[in-house]
Amino acid sequence: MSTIELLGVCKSFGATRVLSDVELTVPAGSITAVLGASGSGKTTMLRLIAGFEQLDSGSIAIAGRLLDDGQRSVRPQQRGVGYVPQDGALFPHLTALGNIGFGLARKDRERATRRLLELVGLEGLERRYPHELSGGQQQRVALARALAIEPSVVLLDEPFSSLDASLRAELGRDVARILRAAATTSVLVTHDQNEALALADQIAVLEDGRVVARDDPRSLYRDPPDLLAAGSIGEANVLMGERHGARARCALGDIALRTNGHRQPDGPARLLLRPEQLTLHLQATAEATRATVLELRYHGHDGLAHVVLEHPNRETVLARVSGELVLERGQEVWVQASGPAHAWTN
Amino acid sequence: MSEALTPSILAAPASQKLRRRRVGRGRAVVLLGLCIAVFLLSPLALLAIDAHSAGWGEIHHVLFRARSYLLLRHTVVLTLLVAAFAATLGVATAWCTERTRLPARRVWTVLLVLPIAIPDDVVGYAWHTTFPGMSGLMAATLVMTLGTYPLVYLPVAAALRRSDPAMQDTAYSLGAGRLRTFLRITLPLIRTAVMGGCVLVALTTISEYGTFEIVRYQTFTTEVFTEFQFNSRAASALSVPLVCLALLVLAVDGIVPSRAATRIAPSRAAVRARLRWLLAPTLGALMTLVAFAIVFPIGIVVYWMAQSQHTTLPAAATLGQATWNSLIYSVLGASAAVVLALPVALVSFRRSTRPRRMLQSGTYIPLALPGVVVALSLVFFATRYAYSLYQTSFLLIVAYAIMHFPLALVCIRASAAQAPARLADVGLSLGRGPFVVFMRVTLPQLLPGILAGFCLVFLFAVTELTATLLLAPIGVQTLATQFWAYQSEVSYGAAAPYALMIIVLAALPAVVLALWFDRGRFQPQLAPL
Repeated sequence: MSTIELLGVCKSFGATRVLSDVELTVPAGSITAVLGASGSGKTTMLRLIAGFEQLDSGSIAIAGRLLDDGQRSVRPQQRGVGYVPQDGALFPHLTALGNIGFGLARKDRERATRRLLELVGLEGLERRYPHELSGGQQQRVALARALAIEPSVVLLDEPFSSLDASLRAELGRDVARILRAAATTSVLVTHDQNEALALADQIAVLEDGRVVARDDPRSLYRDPPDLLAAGSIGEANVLMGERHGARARCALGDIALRTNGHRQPDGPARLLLRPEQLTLHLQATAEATRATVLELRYHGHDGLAHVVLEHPNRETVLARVSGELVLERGQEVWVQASGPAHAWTN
Repeated sequence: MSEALTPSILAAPASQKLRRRRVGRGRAVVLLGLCIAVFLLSPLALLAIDAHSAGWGEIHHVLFRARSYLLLRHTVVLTLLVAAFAATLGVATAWCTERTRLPARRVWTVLLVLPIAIPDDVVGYAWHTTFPGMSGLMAATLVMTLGTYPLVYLPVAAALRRSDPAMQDTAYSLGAGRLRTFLRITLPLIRTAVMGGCVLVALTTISEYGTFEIVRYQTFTTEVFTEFQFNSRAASALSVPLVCLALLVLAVDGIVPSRAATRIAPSRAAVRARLRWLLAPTLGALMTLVAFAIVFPIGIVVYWMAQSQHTTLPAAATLGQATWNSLIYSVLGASAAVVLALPVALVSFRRSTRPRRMLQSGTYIPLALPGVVVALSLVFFATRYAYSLYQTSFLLIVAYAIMHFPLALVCIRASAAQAPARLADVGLSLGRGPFVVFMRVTLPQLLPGILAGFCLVFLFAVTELTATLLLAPIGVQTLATQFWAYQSEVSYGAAAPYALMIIVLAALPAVVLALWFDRGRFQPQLAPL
């Protein structure tokens, strides 16, 4: 099975440290999303796995085969790693068929490419040149081309970033389905948290060249290892509080904590509450805290209300509200929190 | 190191095919590029040795006399005048074809480029034989401007096409008028292209020989050529200031910052201005230009041919052989230039580090070596070190390759800039070796540039006179040398068929280039040093 293992990977370009001590295991057959802002080193990580760049130190292995140990490195053409770059990078002088068949021996080319075109849903477009294909179709061809060599691993570098939002979601689901059908191990680099949450089995969060969190999407969202990771996935409310046992007192009252069996010392702590955990009431309610509306960000199906809590800390929190709700700036509301919250003792 | 490895890696079979890292990652091409750069710059070294062996006394004697001052003034004044006129004509015509609703635009783009297919000495001959009184600075300026403005037109038209029309629209929306927008926005956007074109024009003017001989205007180049026939040491001494002047021109291009040259793909085509009442004057001006630059010289050549059939027997006996020689020398010279330019263009393809870029920039220097200087240095080299090469066609082809190398490089680099290295990376990841990837991915990407470079060098080689006169083996005639021989003997009719044949040979690549530039995918630019 083609597990990818990165151990202590360091890479600098000149004086710029791009990756420092990156540790990551991508389980065989899974889709792992690498999430990070631009400049966090995501693309460099992919290029290292593909073999286009070489490590400074550390090691990379796929299916137990050592590919680069900082001293020596297997050439990209001998790695069997499929690579789908940002805008597809189709060879402009070859047709869809020519692109997909590039890595195949002449005798298998015709049959294999037709099967792949079918797999990515582009039957009938084999004679088209890249400039005659739409952005989404180009990405499908790029994926088929990468899959043609039956790679043990497929790397996708922000493959949907140049597509518009609706196409993006659809193509994303399709690509995930195709990758799962092909049973390859995949690494998807993206800066879009929704994409990562929706498509991946595992998310690794990259910040300043380090993997700061790694878990399945659900656990990472609910149970981030630290505040940095919490902020990089989804919206996060962080409140100052006082922990005592399995509960904590904060501006929103006394809230239950998720302990995960660990015992943490009592005392000042920071609490994480997702916007879904906050409910807004228009009338005073028991156990709710009075607050003033700052802004309502309307998203159609729902909205995100920014409110300032009437509490000595004057903290601002985000609450997810129904799209039907209309709020005015300065309006009084009551915020109720439902636990459990996540807490880190200071 | 090993204790950091997980058990699964330790358990792996002795890692197979682990290669020494970073060997061959572009090192070979840099080494090759370095060798080519040394080869290209060898005329400079040879010139220095030659001048040195002539002795400082000789140099001092030749350089520090009143005549040198006259030659310097002549050369500088003429170069400035021609560059200014060619820039004006080039920008104006490019504006007409790219930013106005000119009828039959495609035809005009070809007609405006075509004058580069007519050798400047043929243009000079046409004017001089029609108006024998025309000579000196005015005649030289007229002939050179008509012959060289396409060198400004081509890059400026490409730059106008490349510049995003949204910038001009934004300027209008901010309340700027047409003139203000042109001066403040459009002109800065095409400044680099104008500069690059002017540098080419200036260098062509500095190294021109035939035209100035015909219209009797002395410059450094004509003096070097004349001196060579009597005293080759004086010629090499005179070459020093000539090369310095040309290098100075080339350096000007490097000094002007090119920050406006961002490569952006325009989101849409520019809105072309309606000419309205300006249509008739514009068409009139363009027709006048074409009449002066193409119709007139070709007409005069045809006239002399018709004349000669009435009076003397046409001296066309050697026309076939001369055509063949010109063709074969130009094809070989262009091929050599392209083959040399290919590795140099790839030097900064994968890694664009400062030393690599400097290596590439250095290879533009032959642009500043006038044909007469390259030829003299090769003659010096052959007579001094390799006599068996003296008076061989090989030397002439080497001269063509060195002189026109930068033109080939400009074209191939333009293609390389559009062939991202990422494509080659993808090819490698699909399991193909570097050679297969080069042949099947990179080379097809570079093909337009290679073909354009070939056309451009062929065009310049077939119309070249100075180096051909000095290096063509005795008894071997080319079109250029035969034309020159007959017109020097005032056998204008006998010279005419050779002139016409040069134009015919050069016209096809000129048309190909004009259409190529016009398609807009291909946008070479003179890279600053």
